[in-house]
Amino acid sequence: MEPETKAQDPGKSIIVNLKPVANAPILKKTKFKIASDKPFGSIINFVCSQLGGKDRVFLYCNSSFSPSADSVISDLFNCFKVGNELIINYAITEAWG
Amino acid sequence: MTELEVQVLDEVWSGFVPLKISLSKHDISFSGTPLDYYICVPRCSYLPLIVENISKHFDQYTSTDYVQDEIWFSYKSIPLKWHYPIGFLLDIYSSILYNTVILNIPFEIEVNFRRFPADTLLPYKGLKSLYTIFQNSLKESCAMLLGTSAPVLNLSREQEDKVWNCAKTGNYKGFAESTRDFSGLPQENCKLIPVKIYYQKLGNGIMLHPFQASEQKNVLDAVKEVVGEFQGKIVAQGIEIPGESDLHWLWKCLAHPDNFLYITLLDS
Repeated sequence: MEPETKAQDPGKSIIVNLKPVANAPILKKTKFKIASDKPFGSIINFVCSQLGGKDRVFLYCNSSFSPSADSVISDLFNCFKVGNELIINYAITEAWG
Repeated sequence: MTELEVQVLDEVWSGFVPLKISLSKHDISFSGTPLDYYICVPRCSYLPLIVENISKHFDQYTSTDYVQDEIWFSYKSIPLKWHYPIGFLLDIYSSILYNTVILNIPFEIEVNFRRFPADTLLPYKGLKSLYTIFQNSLKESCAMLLGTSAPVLNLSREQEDKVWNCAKTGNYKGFAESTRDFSGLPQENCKLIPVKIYYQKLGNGIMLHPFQASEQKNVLDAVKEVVGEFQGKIVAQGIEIPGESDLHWLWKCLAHPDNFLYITLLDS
């Protein structure tokens, strides 16, 4: 029997909702779809590029913690989704401790 | 927490991993065989915390053009994730012999001074990187447990420092004093149980899963929920775990200082 690995389903994509914190600029597009098997680092890179190539941004899941860059997006979605979205807050200076 | 649970936690946290560290052959610049470095480190501790001692020891054998923050460790040439607790790394690279889990003790690892593998390891910029990862991991587990990380965010600077010092040194009792609002909680107060599962067959190796505390499940059923049929061994904190153990109870008694239970799955 083929072991069923529910962990990463490459076919699935997840809606990420980006919300600015404090004086972070508002992005043109705040919601986008991303493949669920990608690491969180790909969202970090995406936000950096959307903010005009900033080399550092601070991202938070549900205004509470910064996921490590190697977290899998589907895992974060499964544990922390709100409705059918993964809510990520972004800041250009450190927020929430 | 019962007296037994506190005793288990106390013993697990005060456990040590013996390390035998050799200098990567790529980094030996001078003739002579470097002496290996032996050290016992708390299970709950992290590899970057021993870098200073290690670099002093091997300094004489390698040329000095390295950056202290780019020192990394490997096991059989596989880069070791610096943000995983050392005890968890030992569990990941243990093996099964005659149906018994064998921990590779001493844990024979290599130290590397150059060629930081940026494709497999998170960027490391000194101990601040480690502290930030630890703090966020603590907030993440709290957000799973309670739906909010407020109890961690509300820790005073002093309490934060104390928690971090207790984590580094494996001091459970000191840790418990500052973390009553989010560690060792009874099942009825928990939403999701913070568990990280390592299984080599999973794409990323490690995964998070939303185990509902209210469902009261044993660890084997929890594992099957994630990986499907499983016949191998379940290991946490260097201990082979019977499949019928209650998942919440395991978390309560065997969680690491970042409040995650780290489970390793080994195929027979």
